[in-house]
Amino acid sequence: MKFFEDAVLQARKRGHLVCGDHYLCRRTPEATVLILCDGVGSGVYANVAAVTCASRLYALLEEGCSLRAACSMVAESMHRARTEEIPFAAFVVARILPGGQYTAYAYENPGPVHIKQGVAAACEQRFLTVQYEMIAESAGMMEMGDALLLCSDGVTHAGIGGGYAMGWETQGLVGEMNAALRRGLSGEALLSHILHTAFVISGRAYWDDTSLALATCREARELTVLTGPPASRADDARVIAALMNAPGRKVICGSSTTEIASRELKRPAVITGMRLTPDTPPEYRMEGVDLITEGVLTLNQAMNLLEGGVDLRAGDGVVFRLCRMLTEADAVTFLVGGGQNAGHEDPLFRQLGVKPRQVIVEKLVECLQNKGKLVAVRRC
Amino acid sequence: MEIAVCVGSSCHIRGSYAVIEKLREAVARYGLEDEVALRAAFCLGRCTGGVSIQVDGEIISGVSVDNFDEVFARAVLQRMGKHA
Repeated sequence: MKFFEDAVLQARKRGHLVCGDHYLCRRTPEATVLILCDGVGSGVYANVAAVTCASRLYALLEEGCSLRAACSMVAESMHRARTEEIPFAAFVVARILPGGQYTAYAYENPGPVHIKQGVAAACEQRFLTVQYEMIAESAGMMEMGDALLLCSDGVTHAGIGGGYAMGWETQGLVGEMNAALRRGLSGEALLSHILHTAFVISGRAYWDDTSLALATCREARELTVLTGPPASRADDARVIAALMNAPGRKVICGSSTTEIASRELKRPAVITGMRLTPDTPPEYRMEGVDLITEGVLTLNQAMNLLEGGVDLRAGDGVVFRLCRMLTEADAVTFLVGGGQNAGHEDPLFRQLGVKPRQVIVEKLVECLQNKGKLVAVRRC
Repeated sequence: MEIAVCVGSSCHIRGSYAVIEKLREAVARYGLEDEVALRAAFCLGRCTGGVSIQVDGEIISGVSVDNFDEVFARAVLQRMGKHA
């Protein structure tokens, strides 16, 4: 499965406290979208313009707008800003589908650069008219190892007044990227090099807000978490097979669920130790599963750690290890059994703040999505 | 004799750990180390009302630190023909 890891590096215009460029990444199972907006002016005013523009594009996409429609609407609305005192922002947006197909639109902004098999080239652009404005459309296909670079004009205008009559321009940027790629730079190191070069050729200063965003295509780190017995015993075999056939790492959260897996797979499952403490739930072990924990208590404690901003390297207990696996994964699939345990209705669970399985999984899903993970839930 | 203590979610929250510690102490106190095998168990299916333990296949629910001595005397010592 392809995963498009994003990285961004920005520098503020000299003498300003706030960057007038704003970057957002929106990742769902349907697409990965990178949005980079450049507010006109500088400082806070530009930042407000850029944030507003990025938020509008994000909201339009959330509401189901196509990328072209969203970019056209926002570009069209910028026409008034040319003559009236309302925030104006340039932007470039790229939408990458799970298969690697991408479309990008640039408005008053440099277009994207595609790094294909280690060689950078500016994407071809087709210009479309939207009322009184124009947007530039690019499209392509990202394979494993490819990357797509978006930048603000702080990059392409670098060098103005420093020996570059029209600035670095996209051509200069691409040339420098290829030189760096040939030296083996990639990812954040590449961004760092480009940003620093822009700084140097501009006379060792940033004369405009300067932003670089990079989406790199790599193999996704996948994780499947099974928790709770299936709603129907007849589904036990199918659900366990779904877990064991899933790509990547596998986790089971739940004692009863583990027993079902053990029975279906005809493999022994053992509790790893008798050294229990009131706070740390037990852990189990079975061949073929990377981590096996108790159910609702562990999931609730994991949520507490993830929500609490705790350093997940600080502990080696089962809950910490579960959290590390969840945060290291790019894509997490929860298989949630619908089997009900009457014992979990006991008020003691509520008294201790232990949320029911269905509720805590929803909270984990939201938390992981906010961390940029691709999360899916399948009820069984 | 095998004694298994349930460590499923409900029993864990009600103090499986404390019951396990009590069992360890009792086994040591009565010198039963060579006669009693103590282990943890997956959910025994008795999730309401206290910790569940299984003594030679018989499930006993509602075990706690408060009634432990009485349960141990009845379910373990008596079965082994010993006295408290």
